[in-house]
Amino acid sequence: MAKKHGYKGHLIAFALSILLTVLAFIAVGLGTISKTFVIPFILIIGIAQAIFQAAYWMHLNQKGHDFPITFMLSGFFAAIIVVFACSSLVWW
Amino acid sequence: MATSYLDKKFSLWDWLTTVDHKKIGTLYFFAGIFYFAVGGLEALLIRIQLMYPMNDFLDGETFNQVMTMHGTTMLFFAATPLLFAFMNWVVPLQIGARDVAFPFLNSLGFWMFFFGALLTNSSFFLGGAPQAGWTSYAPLALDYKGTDFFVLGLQISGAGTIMSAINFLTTIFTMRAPGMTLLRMPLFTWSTVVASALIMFAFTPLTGALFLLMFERMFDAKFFDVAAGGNVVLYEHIFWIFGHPEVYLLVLPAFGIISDVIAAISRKRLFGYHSMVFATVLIGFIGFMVWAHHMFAVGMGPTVNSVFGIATMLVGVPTGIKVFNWIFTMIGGKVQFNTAGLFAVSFIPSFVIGGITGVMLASSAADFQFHDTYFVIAHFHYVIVGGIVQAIFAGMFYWWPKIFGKMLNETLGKWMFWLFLIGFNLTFYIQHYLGLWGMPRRVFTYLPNQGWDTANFVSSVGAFFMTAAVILLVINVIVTFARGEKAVQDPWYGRTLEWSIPSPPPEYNFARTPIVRSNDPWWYEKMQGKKEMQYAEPLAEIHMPNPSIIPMIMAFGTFIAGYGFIYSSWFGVFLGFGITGVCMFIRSIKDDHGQHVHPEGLHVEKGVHHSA
Amino acid sequence: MSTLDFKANGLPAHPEKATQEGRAKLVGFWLYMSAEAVLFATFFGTFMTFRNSVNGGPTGAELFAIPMVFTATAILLVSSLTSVFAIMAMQRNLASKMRFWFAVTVLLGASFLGLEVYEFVEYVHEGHTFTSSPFGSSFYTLVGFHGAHVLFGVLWISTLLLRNINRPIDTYVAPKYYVASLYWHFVDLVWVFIFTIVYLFGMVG
Repeated sequence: MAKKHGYKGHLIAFALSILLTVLAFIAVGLGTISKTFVIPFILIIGIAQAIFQAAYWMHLNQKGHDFPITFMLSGFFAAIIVVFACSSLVWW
Repeated sequence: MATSYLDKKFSLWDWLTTVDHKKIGTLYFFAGIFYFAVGGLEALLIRIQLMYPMNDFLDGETFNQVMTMHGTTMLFFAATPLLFAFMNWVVPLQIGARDVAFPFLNSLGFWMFFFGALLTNSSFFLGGAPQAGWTSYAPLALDYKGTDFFVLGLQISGAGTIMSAINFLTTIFTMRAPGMTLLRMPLFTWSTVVASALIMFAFTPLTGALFLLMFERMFDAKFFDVAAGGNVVLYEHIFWIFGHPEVYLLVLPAFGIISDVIAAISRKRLFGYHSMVFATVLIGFIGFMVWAHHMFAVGMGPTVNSVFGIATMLVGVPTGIKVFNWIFTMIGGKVQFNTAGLFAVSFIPSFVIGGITGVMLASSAADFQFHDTYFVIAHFHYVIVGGIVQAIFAGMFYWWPKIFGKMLNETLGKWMFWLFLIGFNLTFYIQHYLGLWGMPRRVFTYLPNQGWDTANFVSSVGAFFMTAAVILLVINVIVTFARGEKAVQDPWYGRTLEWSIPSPPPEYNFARTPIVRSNDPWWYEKMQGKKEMQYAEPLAEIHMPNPSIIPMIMAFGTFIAGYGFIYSSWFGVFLGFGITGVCMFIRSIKDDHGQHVHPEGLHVEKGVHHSA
Repeated sequence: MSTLDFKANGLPAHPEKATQEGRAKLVGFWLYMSAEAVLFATFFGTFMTFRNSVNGGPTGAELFAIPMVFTATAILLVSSLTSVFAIMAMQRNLASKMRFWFAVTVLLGASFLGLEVYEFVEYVHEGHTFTSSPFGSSFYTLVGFHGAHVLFGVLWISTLLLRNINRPIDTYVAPKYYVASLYWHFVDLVWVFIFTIVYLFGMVG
């Protein structure tokens, strides 16, 4: 098990994180891409990066994490509801 | 017979430093009962004021304070701790554990609740209680000093509540006895799982909403300043995202208590166990998607209102599953109508009435008529008093012998039951009609001859009946402590693990961890002709946590900091958080390996072992 | 974890999960993080509500600059990586290496905080304050709340390091290190959403 999550694996995870971050910053920094594309794009990149980090750095991909995963997903569900309520329903 | 956790000589220090889940449960229970009495007194004042039209028993401002504090106290400082008392008492016993996962945190959670409640209630003596309703809507709430007490008291007690919820969940997930799979857990334990999850995800938005309110009042933030582009509806949304799960997290443990009690008094396995578990989880899940039904009149439009109306009606499905399962459990069983049984049985129709009016309120078109009338009051009191409070009484009579080793008096109990049942229906049934006749809620008086006079009088008379019932309960508790009948180990011929150990249990609950071989494990062993559980281990030294005074001081620090914020004194804030911070620091740098106790024998010998 | 995972030097391969207390701590901490996520969501939601309510003050597009945000992001990402290294060293029972990586994490966290303070001072000079607009209030609430978490993490890990400066890794302290690193990752994870939703969305408009 220890081999599968060696330094190398974490460095790859890190490189991917940096790549996704840079991608998001470039998409915004260019200033030429339309807003309707950029906003969902960087949001998806952000979520992907979050899942990636949770899986590799916080070891959610290792076994024995059923309860944490269940509750993180429930928390995510509740979080989405809160954000949705605030960002759209408030101004309905 | 092993010495019980109560056998130690009483000392205040022992109770202040305790980390024993049974003692913390007892602390929760008596604090909860105290605030239940305070909230009840406030209710009585409300009903006296409304007994006659144009009554001047209370003036408008006092009425608003009493009304606000009645709601706040009953929900946060009475119902929640009373249910936490049962969770603390019963859940570790039901899963075969010796304590909770984090005993220190458990104690901290209690003291945070205790000081938070004290802070909020101290407002009565410090310039006026909060008076914007228990919902404390912005911008109304922003005008009152009392709101500061509301915000900080709830912030402190809410933090304690979240800690305790995490503690219960961790206990249930990591400390079950061998063989106690998730789908063998008693319903009360299951409902604790779901209620704790609701606390985790619902009390956190409340924390957020309270921060917004606090920043607005104390640091001049602009969230609710409409002229600057703020928005007051934001608070309502966040509040109800908390508020609706809040009532479910209160009612689910009540369902759990009723499920356990009904199975026990019927001497029959709970009908449809798996569907009960499923319904519990489903209620918790749907509970998060219905909050806007409290806000139909805000003006979100027919589409949003319909979506939330339908989602709300969906809750009726899992609740219906539960109601039918309780009834089917009783059918064919030998139902014992003792006090616990009476309360459990009368819970069902009372709760169903509250549920049906709930579905009526969910029809958003009709809700424009019901909104802010006594119909709403009648609805949620049927759910809370008819449901939660009756379940608490049922649970009290059911588990009292286990926790205190004495039987509550059945005669007094039955008198209390009938007084309460009559009083509660007298008070709240008529309020449905008052609402339909147009009486608005939260008014401190009304003009005569609008057709409301008799109904209000009847309602107030009912309140006196309920008061009498609660006084009987207090007498019952005192009488029982003084010369109550000693309880046997298994007075109700019970089904779950807590009845397999002595009443009251020893400090470590289980001298040997039992093996669970079925649902209703204790019943199963009895049916196999066994006198005790099968054990998973030989008798050996037991590892128990150390008592500590730190949790209380840590919580006291937040109490001081709370006053610091209220009176805009940075000295107070730093002093309070300083105390808390120092406690946290001491707690982190001092190793705490717990202690080992020897089960069996009257002289429980204590030796401290540093086993790391 | 099978018991065959034992290392030659006497420490289990997963010392943080070797005891019941350790396992409980891990589960409890995950639960805490899932609850905290919802609290952050409340502040995110508040920010989303008011991200254009600038009340005549500077907008996000005028305030935020890519270099500063990117630097802050890079610092936190690297610090997350170093705390992973620390935990890996811990699991191999390399105490001094673990302390080194945690110390690097703390330093990076502190520099992130310094940058954040500098940034806030800058914004205040440009007229973007806590009381200037709903946008300002919700911005400082959200980002400040995250900053407070970073500060708490820095204090926490420093305390842990100083307390156990001479102590070998055992099954009693291992869960403490592990949980502290989980917390650090969580703070980093929240930042991913902050730089996306607050800063990048703000720059797009």
